Amino acid sequence: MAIRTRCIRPYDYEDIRLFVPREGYEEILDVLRLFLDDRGGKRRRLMVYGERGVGKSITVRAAIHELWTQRKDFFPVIVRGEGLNSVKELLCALAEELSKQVNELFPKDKDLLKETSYLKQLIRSDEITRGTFFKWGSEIESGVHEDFGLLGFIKLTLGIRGTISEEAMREETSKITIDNRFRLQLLESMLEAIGKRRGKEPLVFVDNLDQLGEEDPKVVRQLLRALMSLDTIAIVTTVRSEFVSVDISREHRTPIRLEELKREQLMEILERRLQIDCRESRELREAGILDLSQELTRKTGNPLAFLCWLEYLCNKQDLRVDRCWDNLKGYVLTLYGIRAENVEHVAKWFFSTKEPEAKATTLISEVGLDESEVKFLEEHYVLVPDDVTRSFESKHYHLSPLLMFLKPLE
Amino acid sequence: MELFTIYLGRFIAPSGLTQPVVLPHYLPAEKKEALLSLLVNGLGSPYLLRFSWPEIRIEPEGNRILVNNTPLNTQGTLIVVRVGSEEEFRKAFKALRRVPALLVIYDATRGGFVQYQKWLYDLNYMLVKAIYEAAEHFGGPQFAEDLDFTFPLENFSDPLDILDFTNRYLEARGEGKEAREAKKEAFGQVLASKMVSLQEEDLTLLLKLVTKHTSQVITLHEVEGAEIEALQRLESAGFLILSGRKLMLTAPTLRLRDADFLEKAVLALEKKRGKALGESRKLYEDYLSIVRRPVLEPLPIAEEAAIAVETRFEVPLKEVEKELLKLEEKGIRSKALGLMWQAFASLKDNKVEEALADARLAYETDKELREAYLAFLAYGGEFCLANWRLDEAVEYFRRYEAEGGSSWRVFRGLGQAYHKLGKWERAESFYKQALIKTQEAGEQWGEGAILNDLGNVYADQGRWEEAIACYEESLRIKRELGDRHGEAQTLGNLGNVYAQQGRWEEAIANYEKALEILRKLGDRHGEAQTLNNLGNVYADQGRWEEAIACYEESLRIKRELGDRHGEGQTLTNLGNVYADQGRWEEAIACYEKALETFRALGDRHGEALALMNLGNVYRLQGRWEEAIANYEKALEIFRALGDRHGEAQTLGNLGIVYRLQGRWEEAIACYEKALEIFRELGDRQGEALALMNLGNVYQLQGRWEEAIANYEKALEIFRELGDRHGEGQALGNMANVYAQQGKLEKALETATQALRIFEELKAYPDLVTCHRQIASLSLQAGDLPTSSSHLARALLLSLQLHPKLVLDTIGFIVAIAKRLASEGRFPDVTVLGSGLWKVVMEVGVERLRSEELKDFGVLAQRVCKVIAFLGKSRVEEKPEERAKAREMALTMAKEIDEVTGGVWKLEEWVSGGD
Repeated sequence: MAIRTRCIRPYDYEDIRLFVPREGYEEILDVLRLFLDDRGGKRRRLMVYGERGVGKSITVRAAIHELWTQRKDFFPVIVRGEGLNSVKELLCALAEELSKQVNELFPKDKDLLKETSYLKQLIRSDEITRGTFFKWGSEIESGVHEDFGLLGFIKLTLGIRGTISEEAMREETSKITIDNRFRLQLLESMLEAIGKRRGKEPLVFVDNLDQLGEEDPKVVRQLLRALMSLDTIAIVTTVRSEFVSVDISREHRTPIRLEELKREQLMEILERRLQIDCRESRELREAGILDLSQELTRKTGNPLAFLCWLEYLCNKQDLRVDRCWDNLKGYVLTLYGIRAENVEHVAKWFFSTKEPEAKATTLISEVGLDESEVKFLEEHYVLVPDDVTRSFESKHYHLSPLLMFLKPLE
Repeated sequence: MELFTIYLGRFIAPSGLTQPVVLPHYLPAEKKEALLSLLVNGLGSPYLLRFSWPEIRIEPEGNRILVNNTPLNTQGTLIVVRVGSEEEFRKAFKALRRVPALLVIYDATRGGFVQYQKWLYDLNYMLVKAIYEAAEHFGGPQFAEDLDFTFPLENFSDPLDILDFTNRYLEARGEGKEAREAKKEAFGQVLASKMVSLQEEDLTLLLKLVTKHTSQVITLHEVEGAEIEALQRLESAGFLILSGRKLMLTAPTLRLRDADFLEKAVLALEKKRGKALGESRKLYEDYLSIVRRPVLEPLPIAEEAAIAVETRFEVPLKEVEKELLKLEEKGIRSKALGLMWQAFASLKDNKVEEALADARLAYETDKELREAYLAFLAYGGEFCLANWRLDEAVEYFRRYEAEGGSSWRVFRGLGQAYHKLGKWERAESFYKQALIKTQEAGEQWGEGAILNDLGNVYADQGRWEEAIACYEESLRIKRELGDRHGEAQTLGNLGNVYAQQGRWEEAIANYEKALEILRKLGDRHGEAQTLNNLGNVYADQGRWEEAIACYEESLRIKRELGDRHGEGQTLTNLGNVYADQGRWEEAIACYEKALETFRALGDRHGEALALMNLGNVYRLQGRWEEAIANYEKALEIFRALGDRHGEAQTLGNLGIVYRLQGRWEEAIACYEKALEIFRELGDRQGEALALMNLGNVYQLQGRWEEAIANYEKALEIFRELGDRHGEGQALGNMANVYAQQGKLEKALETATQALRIFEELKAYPDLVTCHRQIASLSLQAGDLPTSSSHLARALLLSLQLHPKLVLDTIGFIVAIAKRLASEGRFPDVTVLGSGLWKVVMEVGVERLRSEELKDFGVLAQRVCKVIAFLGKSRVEEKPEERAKAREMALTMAKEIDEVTGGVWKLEEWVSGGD
């Protein structure tokens, strides 16, 4: 009997915490608490890394969520790297997100709203004449009672000590180039000022920074360094393990690595999940879900994959340990529209070489696929490209983490 | 497109669709529209914006996106962008992915780039979930439960099909159809509505892909006679996806391989069209007739044995188990019963002795377990027989008999055990007893089966005529009973005997008849085995390509069936053919694979045979030491198994190596040992062969009298056995000895006798040898015309048979020509050469059976010409003619030497003749 259940999958934000790696979670929570307690302190930066699907983003989000329920002396500014194309876009998105949060949290603070809207505009531009800059400065100065950092920054840039209005109106046409360094400084001074003036400190979280659609990985690394050198604001980033090179981990003495869940932990989670008293959890118990999960956990500690498999198997006619691998092969057909046999040899290559990712040329020369086959597998998401907007030759592929069950048993 | 009758509401979560969402280019326009409308509905009817990528402009300084110079307001909209190339797609995706739209869809208007489709499967999932939830909401949990959640998900790759399917399914259920039937019906209708727009030839192509192939991914060149346009049409109808040089069948197409679903689809299609299918109907019918045949599961040996017990002993094992269970339920006699169970379990674990001890103890404790004990013994006997534990099998059968299990089947079982043990006389007597019992009981089926077994014993003994008589009688009975299966089996056996006799045409005819029956019955096992045997005959005839084709087909089936044992056997045979062709490395590879297979199976017998074969190849290659090592390993195993027959055979082979090495005494020792064993076993044929081998050594040693004596003994046995083939060979060998003794007349007479026998038997390779022998003898007797005519016949026959024979015969002819030349009989050389050349010319090389043989035919012609020219260069009167002939001979000789690697050293001969 198929069990159509929502019992396996997390159903709300609280519930999801069951599925995040617990030790890492506590650690992250502690660090973030420390950051917030140490307001204005230096070196408040944290990098979280780990394998795909291990739950980095969700863990950090859950930790922030928990903090948010406990204390109101901060507000999160969260951006995701994977939707954005460049460092500039990322910084723009940060400004955008900041303005959104400010709009919600302090709808009556006209000064702050005004400054953030100028900030957004400024960050989006690539250059500005000193004249315009001066004009904006005087506009802000005349309109606001309190400076949230932008005005000070403008004055600093223009070299003005007193109030802007005291200076003669300038018509300078020489230009100030707005590069990423400039933008970052701008953001930093603004974030710092908001934290100081408004009792609520912004906590910046850049999720999946390494998946930023920037062509050159070096640029992304530079950005990470720059973000991590912002001394006055609290900032968290998540990146995948393969992104963390030796030099990065050396520079950041205290990155937190989220380990894959241990098998016992996955089982324990499931046990706890099943304690929810509902018809479905009883059904699942009777159908022997625990035995089945034991088999599944032998293959992975990756909660994402684990959940997907469980859910699929729950929707099969019979939950049976001895058939679960065969049934999961049907799952490939259902989820990818392709038979497991046609995927197996590519999967085998990834498992045997332990390469996290490979270029199309490598797959062609070493796995014996031809170009159209690689494209075909990409179309069906068996091979997942790091960035779909890259040309075929420069894409890096990794195997869909949901195919981990094809891995030979240890 | 009809919409689902239950309101689904908003069911698509855009974040649940794997990005990017691309409408693949091969979807027809109306399909794309339908998909779009589904998306719009599922997203809760948002505002829809559609444009092409070239219409878009992004302002350089900021995020503003303009379409036709109007700023794009994207909040909460569904955007559809048409992209025509990879370049456009990449740009559009880069620009639009951070636009705050609800969803961006890329509509590919042309192919050639990656068109991400995973979202379609995500959508399926959401859709099915929504249907399920809606059904639960409107019809209650049971109603939803009946709507099988997984079926549409697994069998459709297109959400529209899922909707269509669900509607039709509900309709069918509404008409009161049962769930499973309704599912098939609905599936059939969905597929029919997709197929109805196809042209007849496209439909045929589709059915070919479904019925003639087995995999999901098919390389294009495997698809016979398909034009790319036709495949594209099938792609746009959703039956397959083209990807470079390959195509992949979509999920519903795959499901069509299920006969029930195919039938429903075809019937629905015919109803829709109002007429029957054309050409493709046959494909469909053939497929159904194949797929719906009784399926023979590949069984492990033990299970096979269990079935054998059930059929033969009329004591179905399951029944016994049931009985045991009943007793157990009553809660009595638990200890003895437990023991009996234990016995069955041990048997299955191959612990034969333990099992027997347990069962006996159980039976002695409680005599009421008699039935179970008898069944156990019978089952155990068959089990041992199948696992080649023959002594134990005899033990089991004997106990069965002692317990009063008096059935003809026991005698037959015993007969089979002794037969396998090589104790043929005993086997024969048991079979005969069994035969009498069946005749008394009027058991016709049993009579037919036992006659067949008896035939097998005779065949093994080389008592071929008797064997044939038995088989024919068996065949008669089986035909009377309509036992097609048995008929095929006996036909196969008859074929085997004919093959051994060298009556190849008859053998082939019988195998083909058997094959036809087996194919009709769908007996894949039998088919594979018969193909294997057919291959053997072709191999014997030197029809190597045909043989290899048969073996490969057989191998394919066996692999499909998972018959590892048969696989090993056929690999061995394939190896034999390669060995015959001199393709040593391939042969060795085959044998080694076979060896590996047998070892993996734990089949010691097979292992020993493979080792012996490896030894044979090494022997043929002249790698004596390796050959001997392999033979000795085989010998060890045969001895350990107690397989005397194998032991003797291996000894014979070992003897051959020693003989070839000139280690005559050792060779003789081997042969004598083999002889002894064969005599012990009562294997007359083996005995005769050992005698022949002994004779061969004596002949080599010049111990002619002893040689003749041995040959004569062998001859006597062959005559007794009715083994004409052996008789011919013995006579041929004797003729050799006589020739060596200088008894020319006697030699000729004996050789002619042999010739007559071989002619009768149509034993072609032997005929070739015999003709050559007579040619040589006639030449010694000074009778050149007779000699040439035999040589011509030998050459012509070889050209019909196999290349190796042709080479041998040419070599022989060259040797004769050289001998004549050395005696200064140049006119004779000319006559010989030109005569043979003429004969080959008249036959016509191009009419020969294979390309390879044609090449060899040409080679033979050229060699004959060289001989003729050489003679001419000495016979011609005019010096310039002589020079010319010599020149010709020399050029051709050079060429031939080059092609053949100088085996006959023609150039040396021609130039050195001055």
